[in-house]
Formats: sequence, C-alpha cells, structure tokens
Amino acid sequence: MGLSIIDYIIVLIYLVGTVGYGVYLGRRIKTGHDYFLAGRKLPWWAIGMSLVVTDIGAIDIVGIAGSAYLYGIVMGNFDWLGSVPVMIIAAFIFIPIFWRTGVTTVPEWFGRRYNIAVRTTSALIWGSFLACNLGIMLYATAVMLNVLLDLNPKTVIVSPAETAAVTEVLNVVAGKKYDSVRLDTVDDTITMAVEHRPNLLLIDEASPLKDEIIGRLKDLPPGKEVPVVLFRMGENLEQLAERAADVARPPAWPLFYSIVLMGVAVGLYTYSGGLTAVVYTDVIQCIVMMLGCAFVLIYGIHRLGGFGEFVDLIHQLGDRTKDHFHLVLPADTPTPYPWSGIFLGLGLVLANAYWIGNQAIVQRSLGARSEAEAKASYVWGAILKVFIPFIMVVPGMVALAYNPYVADADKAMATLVRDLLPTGVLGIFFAAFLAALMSSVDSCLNSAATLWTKDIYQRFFKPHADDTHYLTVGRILTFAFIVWAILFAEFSANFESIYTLIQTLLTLFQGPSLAIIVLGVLWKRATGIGAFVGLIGGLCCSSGMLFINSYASEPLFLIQDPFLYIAWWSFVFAVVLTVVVSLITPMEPEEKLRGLVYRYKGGNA
Amino acid sequence: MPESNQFSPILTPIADFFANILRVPGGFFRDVLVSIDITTAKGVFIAYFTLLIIWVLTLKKEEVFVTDERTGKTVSLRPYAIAALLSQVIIYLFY
Repeated sequence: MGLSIIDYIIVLIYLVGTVGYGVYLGRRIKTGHDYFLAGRKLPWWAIGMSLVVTDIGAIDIVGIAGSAYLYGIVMGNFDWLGSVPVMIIAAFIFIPIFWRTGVTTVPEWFGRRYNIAVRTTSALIWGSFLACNLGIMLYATAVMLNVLLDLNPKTVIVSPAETAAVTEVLNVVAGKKYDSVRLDTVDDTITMAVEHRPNLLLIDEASPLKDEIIGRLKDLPPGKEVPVVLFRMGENLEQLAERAADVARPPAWPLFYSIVLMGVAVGLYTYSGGLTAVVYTDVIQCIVMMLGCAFVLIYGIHRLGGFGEFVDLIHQLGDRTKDHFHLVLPADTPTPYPWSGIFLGLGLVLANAYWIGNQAIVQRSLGARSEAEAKASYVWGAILKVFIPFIMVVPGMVALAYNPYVADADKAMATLVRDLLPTGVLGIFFAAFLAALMSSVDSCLNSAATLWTKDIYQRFFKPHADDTHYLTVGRILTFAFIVWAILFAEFSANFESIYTLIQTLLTLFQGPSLAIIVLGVLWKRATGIGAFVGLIGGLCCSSGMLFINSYASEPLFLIQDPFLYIAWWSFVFAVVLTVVVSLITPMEPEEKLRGLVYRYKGGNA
Repeated sequence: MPESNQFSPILTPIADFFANILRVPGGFFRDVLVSIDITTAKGVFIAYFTLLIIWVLTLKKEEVFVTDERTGKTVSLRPYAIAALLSQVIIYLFY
C-alpha cells in the first residue's frame, strides 16, 4: 500500500481522537439507562448518521466495491431499495411505537406485545447471532486492516506448473492469512525479495529460473535474506507445509495484533461510554467515511477524464459489462441479483427485517430525546442513504475502468486506492476505512451486551435490582464479549464455514422475525401463540428449504445463492401461519394492545 | 445455475421427495417471473416508491409534524420523506 509517515500520523490522530472522545463521553454514564439508551438524550442528527455508518462494515466497504466491480450498479439496490423506503416506513409506523413503549430491545417489545416465549426465543437467537457476529466482524476488520496496510506476510512462488496446481500448493502452504504472489521472471522475484521481503519463497525444482534466482538471492545484504524452500509438484503438501513453516520468517505484524488493536480500541470506548459513545463516535466516523469515499469517487473519475469517459471505458469492456449500469436485472440473470429476488427478498423482507428488527440498528433510535427525534432520525438516515451507493458502489466501477483485470474483485478497491491516491489523502481514506470498520463493531458489541443484560440477565436472574447494577453487568458483559470476540477471531479453525453458517442462520431468521413484527404492529388480532407458532414454523420453513436445496439431487433454486428467495418464502409462510393460528386463538386483552398496535386506541377504534 | 449437490444415501431421497412437490409451484412461479419483461419489472420498483409517496402524503398531521422540545419549533417531516422517495423514482427511471 505504501503509506507514508504523514498517512500514518493522520490515521493515528483519527484513532486516538475517536477513542479518546468515546472514553471522555463515558464519564457521564451513571446508570444502566444511560449506558444502554444513552439516557434517552440522543439528537436526531447523530442517530441518523450512526444508523448509516453502522450499516457499513468491514466486509461491505470492500465487498460492495468488489461486487460492483463484477456486477455494476445493481449493488446500489442494497442501499436504495434496501434502505430508503423501509426507513421512511419505519420512521412513521414502527419506530414511534417502539420508542413510546420505552423498551430497550426489540425482543423486549415482543414480550410486551406477545409473550415471554416469543421474547426469549428471539433474544436467544439475536443474542447468539450478535455474539458470534462480533468475532467475525473483528476478524474481517483485522484482515482488511492488514490487507490495506500491506501487513500480511507474503509467500512468493515460482513454478512453471499450471495455475490450479500452483493454487493448491499455495492454499495448503500459505493458507488464508498469507498474501500469495506467483512470479514468472527472475527480475520480478528479486525486486519482490528486496522491496517487500517475503516471509517465504517457494521455488519449483522444475523451474528453469531456479538456479539464477538462488544465485542472485545470495547477493542480498545480511539481514535481508529471504527463506527459500525448494519443492516438487506432486509431493505431499502437508509435509511441504511443515517444511515451509520451519524456515518461514515469522510475520512482523501477525493478524492477531490487528485483532487485538481493533478489539481494544473499540472495546475501550464502548465499555466506557455505552450507546452514547457508540453514537457520537459514529458521527465522526460517518463524516470521515463519507468524505474519504467521496474523494476517491471524485478524484477517480476526474483522473479518468470525466464522467463521460468513465462510462465509455466501462461500456468498452463489452458483454462483461452490458448490465453494469442497470439496477433492475432480468429474473433469469446469471448474476445473484435478479429483480424478483431483489424486490421480494431484499426490498420487502430482508431490508425491513434489518431496519425494523435488528437490535444493533434499532437501539440507537430508542435512545432518542423524543418520539419526534426518533422519527426524524430515520428520515435523516434515509436521506443520507440516497448518497451511499455513489460513494461505495461507483468507486468499484471506477476501479474496473482503471484496471479491468484484477484477479480478486475484493481487492479492486484497495488496488484503486493504492494506485490513485497521493500521500496524505491515502491516510484520510484509510481513516475513513477504519471508521467504517469500527462503527459496525462497536454497535454489535453494545447491542450484544444490552440484549444479554436486559432480556436474559434482568429477565431471568435479577429482575428488580438497582439500575446501577445493570450498568455494572452491561460493562462486564461488554468486556467479556470483546475478550470472547478476540479469542473467537483468533482461534476459529474454519472461519469461512462459520461465517457462512452464521450469515445463513440470520437469513433463516429474518423472514419469520419480520412477519411477527409486522403483524404485531399492524394487526391487533395477532396473538402470542400465533406469533410463537409463526416464528418457529417460519424457521422450520426456511431451514427446510435450505436443507432441500442442499441435499436434493438437483438444487431447488436455480440460482447459486438463493438467500433472497428463502427469506421471502419463509416470511410468507410465517405470515400465513401466524394469521391462521391467531384467528383460532383468543385475542390479546385490549389494555395490553393499547400503544403497541399502529393507530389502535382500544375498543372498536 | 448452481453446482450439483453432494449425494447422501439417507438425506437425498428425503430432500428429493419434498423438492419434487415444491418444484411444481416453484416452476410456475419462476415461469411467471421470467415472463415479466424488464420494463414491467422496473415499473414494479417505481410503482412501489410511488405508492409510498402517496402514503406519506396521506399521513395524519400529528404523524409527520415534529416539535423541537428545546426551541418549540414545529417541522414537517413530510417533504423530506417525499424528497428521499422521489430521488428513488428518478434513480430507478434512469438506471
């Protein structure tokens, strides 16, 4: 990446400033109410900015640009269709009801509207998800930190073998935590050895370059040597990995350091200041992130010769980019984003479940100064969301215009930034990137602690303690979760599988969860038993579809990643089930429903 | 098209049984969606945003007007909500 000292200073100022400000805000926290809901003193503008920046995490900032590189502006759907309309709906229907009831968590609202079974089921699922997701986010954040700062240890391979065989060797020997580079010339190998000091150089004995490379490596000055391992294609890869591990130079900055650094930075201010610190540091992070990404966009298009030139360059790439400027793609598109899945799965289900039912999102609006400010925060967030695809998605397409041949699309943004930005500005972008990372981790941490304190500890273990007691419990849990997340991030042996599993579980849960929120708010006839059956039945429906899709001779869905359709069908199933069971069970008492159902005043009103 | 699934002697026949039942309505649903041309699909998105604009316009005054408790100033959120939704109509019309 080549950050200069100025860039590092900018990043350091940002990091110390944010953490210091968050810890400073923590001095005002005296009770659990202050800690979990910021004493209900948050202004609309701060919540709105916090909502937006919380939605953009480590995986998004790189992944969205990477997907935009491959598929184009269709990725904008996740912020436009997937955010703007639902935030407006939430602002006028759902958020005022949540705020008025004075709840701290969404499961707590389930408890008031339905019953303890729905509350506890929902709390356990969300609580487990947030706790595991915290480890994943921290891991992803550390990986991105290392990639952008070019801190990962490097394995260089020189081999005349075909790509698949070389990749297999690298996968076993270098794994995921090393950056692997394949080089084909002596000069490139020596340049790499001198400038980047790889931790390991693997040379295929069949390579005609072998002797010359080894000869020139001997000329390197003392202290600059590069460990070399000779290997033969076809030899036992596990044994090769062991041989390589014996000689490889240990990384100067292991991934664990980044995990701990990010964990401690975020943990410090979240532990100290709770929701107040999370939201106000998010404001700084939102400004830095938007400015940094906007600069990449404007400067990138300017360097290409203007917007017209940028569009022409994309179009010149032929069939590969014919849909890059289309938000709505055919139902049988080969991409994972057909219009039908986007509209039904994302627009009607996942987006609503996320903005209305996700504790990490909703919690900040529950801490608003008034119901009016809670509403205003969501409208303000929706307005900000209109601009996000321009600064997140379009840069991925700018990266394509610059370099259409990046092997790994997820590195497109990093490559663009590295090639494009001058010293100093690179530091600002990197601070923006850190801002996006930290804002998601802090929200997840704070919400996990809130949920476990309020819905599990307070409900089942100590219901009537003094509010300062819950502050202590909340802080202890925050500390415990950050330690857990660091350990989870470092020691998960098969991280990719866990990540996929957790994301899949969330998809399974979103549809049924949304169904009972929507029916609970909009339909006075929805009952606790109906909601519980709908929730469990919906979960069975989504799990069943996933099972059939995975084990049937031919997959049930004709697209590679059917999560949008699974969310949609499980939502429909849960709605039907909840309605049917509610109609055959007695209605909840009127006094219980008052204030919990939209425009319901009791009686025949 | 997704990759083929791995075979399991116990789970695959069970999954196949349910898959064969679900493929009938699923195939019908898919055929309907695929038969919708892209202009109509775009119309669905725009209609959704337009319906929401109409809904915001019909909201009661007390639902859209907010009062700043410190200054006492009353502001309507309606124009801001409509502006956000209108931007979506324009964006989806162009792209």
